[in-house]
Amino acid sequence: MQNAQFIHYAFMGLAVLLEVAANVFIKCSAGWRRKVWGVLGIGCVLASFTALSQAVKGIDLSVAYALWGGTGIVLTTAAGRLFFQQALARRGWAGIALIVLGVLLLKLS
Amino acid sequence: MTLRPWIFLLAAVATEIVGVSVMKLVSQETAWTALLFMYLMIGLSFFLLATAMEHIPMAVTYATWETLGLAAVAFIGWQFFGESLGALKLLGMALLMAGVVLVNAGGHAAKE
Repeated sequence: MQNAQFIHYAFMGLAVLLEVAANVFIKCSAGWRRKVWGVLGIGCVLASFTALSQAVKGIDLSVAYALWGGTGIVLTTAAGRLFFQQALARRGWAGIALIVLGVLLLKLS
Repeated sequence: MTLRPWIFLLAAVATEIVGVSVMKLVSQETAWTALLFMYLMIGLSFFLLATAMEHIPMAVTYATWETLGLAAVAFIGWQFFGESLGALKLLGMALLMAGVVLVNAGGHAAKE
């Protein structure tokens, strides 16, 4: 990863948090039946991509997008547990473990 | 199963890929028109994704959208933005994508 600095990872973290917020809002909109939540969700997605566009100034696009997608899913799953009482099956936990391992490998490479 | 929702899903992936590629260009030189185009593409992608979800299970929709998107963006980064793709990086991405599929496919335990 060339010239990636703290600031790029800070933007990356912000992008992931906004993405998780977007996923929660979109879930609340229940398939566009509650429009306000849907619009909030879209707003968060756009904000998330704005932050991500700052992160890719220093982090490779391929790595940044993989980190964004992977950590986004892990945290969204955590949010689902917290707010919607969704339990994870064993297969889901195996998936989370693979994602974490993949993220670590991407960080090392 | 009809073909229509899958066309929506593929269109969602295509707009996602265009949006992310434009995002990289925006990061290199900030142009407001490019930024607006990126917003348009990402917004459209999520709208198409939501439309596809009305007929395809959400888990399948997300898994397809994410894995196809990740693979395409990795390829574009390598081909057009001069990013390296080492063995470690490829392995990391493969694990991550497998994880995404697992979490989406039956990740949630049945509700009691």
